[in-house]
Amino acid sequence: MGHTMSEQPTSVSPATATGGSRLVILIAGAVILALTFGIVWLQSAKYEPLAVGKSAPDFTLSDLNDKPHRLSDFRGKVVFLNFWATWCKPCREEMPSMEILNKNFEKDGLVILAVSIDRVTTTKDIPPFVKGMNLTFPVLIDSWGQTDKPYKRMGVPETFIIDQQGVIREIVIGPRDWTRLDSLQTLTKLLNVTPKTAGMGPPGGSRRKG
Amino acid sequence: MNGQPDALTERETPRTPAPGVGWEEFSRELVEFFASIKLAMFLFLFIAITATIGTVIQQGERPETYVQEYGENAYRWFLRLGVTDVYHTWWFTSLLGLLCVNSLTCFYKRFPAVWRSMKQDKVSVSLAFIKGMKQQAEIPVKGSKEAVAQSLAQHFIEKGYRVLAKNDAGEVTLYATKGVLGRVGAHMAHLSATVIVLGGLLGSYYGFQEFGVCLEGQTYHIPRGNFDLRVDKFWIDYHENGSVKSYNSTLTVVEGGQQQMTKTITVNDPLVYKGIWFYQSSYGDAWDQIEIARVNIKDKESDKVLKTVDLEWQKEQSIDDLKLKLSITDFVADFAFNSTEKKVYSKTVEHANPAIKLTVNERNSVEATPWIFYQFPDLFDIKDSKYQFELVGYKPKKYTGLQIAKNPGINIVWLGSTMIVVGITLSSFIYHRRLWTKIVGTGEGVTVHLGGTTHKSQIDFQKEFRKLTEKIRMF
Amino acid sequence: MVRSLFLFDMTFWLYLAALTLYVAYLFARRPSMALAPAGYPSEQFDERDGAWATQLGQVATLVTVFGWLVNTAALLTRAFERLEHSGTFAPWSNQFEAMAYVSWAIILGYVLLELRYKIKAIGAFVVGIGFIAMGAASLLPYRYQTAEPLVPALNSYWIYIHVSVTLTSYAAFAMAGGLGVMYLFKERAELQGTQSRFYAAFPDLETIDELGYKAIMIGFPLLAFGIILGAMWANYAWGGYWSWDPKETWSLIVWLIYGAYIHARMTRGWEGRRAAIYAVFGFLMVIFCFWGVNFLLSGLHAYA
Repeated sequence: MGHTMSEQPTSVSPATATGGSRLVILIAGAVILALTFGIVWLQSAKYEPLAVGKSAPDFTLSDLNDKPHRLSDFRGKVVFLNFWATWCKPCREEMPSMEILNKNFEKDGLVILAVSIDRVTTTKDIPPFVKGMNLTFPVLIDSWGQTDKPYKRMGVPETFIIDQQGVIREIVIGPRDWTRLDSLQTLTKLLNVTPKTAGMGPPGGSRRKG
Repeated sequence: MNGQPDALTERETPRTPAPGVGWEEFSRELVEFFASIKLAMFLFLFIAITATIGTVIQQGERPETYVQEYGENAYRWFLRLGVTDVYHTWWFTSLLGLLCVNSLTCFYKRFPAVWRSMKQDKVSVSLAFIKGMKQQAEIPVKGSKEAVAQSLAQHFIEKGYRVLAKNDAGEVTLYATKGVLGRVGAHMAHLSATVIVLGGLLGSYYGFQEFGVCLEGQTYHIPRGNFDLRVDKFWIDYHENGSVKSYNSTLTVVEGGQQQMTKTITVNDPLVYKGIWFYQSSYGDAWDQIEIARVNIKDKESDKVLKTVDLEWQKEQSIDDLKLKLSITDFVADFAFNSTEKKVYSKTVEHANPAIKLTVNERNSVEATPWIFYQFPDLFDIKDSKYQFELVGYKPKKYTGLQIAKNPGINIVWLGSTMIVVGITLSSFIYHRRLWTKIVGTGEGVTVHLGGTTHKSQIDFQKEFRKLTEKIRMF
Repeated sequence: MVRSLFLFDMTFWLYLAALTLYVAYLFARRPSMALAPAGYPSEQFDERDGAWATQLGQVATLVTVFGWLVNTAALLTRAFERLEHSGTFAPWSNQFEAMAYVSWAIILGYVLLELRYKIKAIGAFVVGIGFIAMGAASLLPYRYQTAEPLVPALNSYWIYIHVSVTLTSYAAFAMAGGLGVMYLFKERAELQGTQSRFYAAFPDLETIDELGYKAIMIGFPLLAFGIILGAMWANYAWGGYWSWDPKETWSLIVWLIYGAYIHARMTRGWEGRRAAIYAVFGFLMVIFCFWGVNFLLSGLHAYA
């Protein structure tokens, strides 16, 4: 079953195509390269780090009653945007102080939006969590990670304090005791209120280590 | 066809007829079974499947964890089948052992043929033999038998083949072989499995692994090595963003009263002494010691904080204006009380319920040693004292977690590992090919009858064969 | 970090373009095209359709090469970015980078394959897998895409050899998986007697089968080497060369699966269809070992 050549090559094989078609190929390749560069370059704004002074990226997420909320709808109010998750212990510790914040400053124009980044496997834990903590501020669910890249989230909890014009004024990575006076500096300045007196200390525990 | 590799080697000697089931026949069947590829495939897959179990069900956990997750009934089955420690059960170890037997038997059965093949002189073949091959060709060439044979042999040698020639009346036969190392590689890999398992067994029986919680400044005796280890320093380096960059311990080995060696270890960089290895494994907060405690001294009547002091561990401090002498004499990270022994101990290593034992000497008349709780400041009251003491903060003492291990079998494991990697690589990249040529004289020249076979890699060999055919045409 | 992310994004689009072109190439070939039997370079045969399809194929190859070059630039840039912040600079130090590296290796392997065997039809399948790998990488949450400094345990020169060797073996198995899919496509077409133009450029089944086998033959020793290097690293870091943690165990499982494959090939009846299915199955196991173990199982080795 030896292999012998049945046909001799007749026409010019494409590998040694004429100079013209080789040029076409090169141009086509270069065009595609330029196009991809263009596509990525146009979106390159998304690589910029999110910093104080930048506009907070807009989003629309539903709360526990499936009612959608859009961030830009809250213009005119100071937004306390907090990212958390049910499996995150520091978030759990931070929540009561956020609730106190809500009670004290809601009338002054503060809106607290707590966005849960729980994926579909843990979203079922959100309602009992909220109930157990007696939280009265809106809890939004982002199970598809819509806010992940725009807010360049590295972990939870992360809090963004956004002013009435939608500009980020403070970024807090990690948990904070929101009843302490020194945590509230930006907030009180934006809300134009004098901070309430101490005595807002939580009933038990959560004192910081020396 | 990646075929039966031994199809072209000598047939096995016919079986001697034995009466009934003779030992010879039985042992032959046994060898066949244990050397079979099917057994190998089965073992590979079965071990893979059972190994999966240990990744899905957590290994080596406390019984409560299993009961909680899977229920009591399931847990009992787990124990019976060894699911909680799969990789050390007798049946898993037997599977590995069986794999060794399998590979050794394969070596015993097939390697001799490979060895023979290496030394082989298979020049005496018939024309029909060549014609019967999958890759064969018949090429008329001008020139004499001897000249053509010479050129061909030269060509083969240039290509790296080992060539044997035989001159008969009327024809010249050439046998060229290359790449038998590929087959040797497979056998090397087979042997290595047993070497690795042996090394592993040696390590498990004669080696040890222990974990030591060590504090800075302390010296620990290592009984298995008969020397002491002193922890001179422990510290943590951080990145700019606050995350841990590295944690390091400076250790000194003291033997016979003399400092033998000092090394700063960190993760991935252990200390070795007398065959015992010390690894920087982890670190944490000690659960029975702290460095500094911050205590508020409150006036009982006015409930005002009079003073805040930082007390060092087990160091008495005098606060003269309040006529107090305070010192911390004990600490537990998770307070618990053993009522039978009447002792305080730390329930866990977590700082879940920290408490200090404060020794109070007030005006030299009141002496008390209360336990002060970090989370429950109002729990204790000293009857005759003017003051209330509160623990408002503390600096924990860090311990360095050292993994101490010795593994006498490790070098055997590395030897086996090298063998298996080299063996598999040889087997994958080198394939055994053989070419037979009969050069027969015809009227005006010769006819070259070429035939070839390969152990693996058919396409590449076909390509090579074709190129060879063309080359011969040019002779 | 911005620069490497930019380049990784470009890589994604270029691989997408390459894949589209290869698929278009398959559709553009006319059925009267002579098939290239195994071992024969296709340019020796008469190109009876226009240069149109062939040119499409050549643009596909060119774009693939461009994509690979940008991928290389992205990895190098990431390496430089890491160098600024930490001790090691291996651009395969987290899940994102590892996937980008695997893409890079798959495409490199494909380009070499195309150079040697000149069968462009394979592009649709292997570049397809390379593209999917890059796509999956870009879908990872933001925190995996950054060049954050490494935990102390990973901060070692071992990361250069252990991780790269193992990832390269994954790339080889990925190629075999792609070829397995291609085999099954073609086999089904042959059984159904389809004369569609799509299959005109496919090489014969034997070739696809053998190339898949070759890919596994390259991946298998690499994986063995990678596992051994991992054991050596573990010995230096944790004091034990094998602790049966999920990642170690799963890489052993994958190795055993391909070990069984290699032995199966020596048995009659295991070439062709069974081998193709097995190669796809093996690749799914590789995906689990690479991705699933990090995210679904916990353990000492869960560095995503």
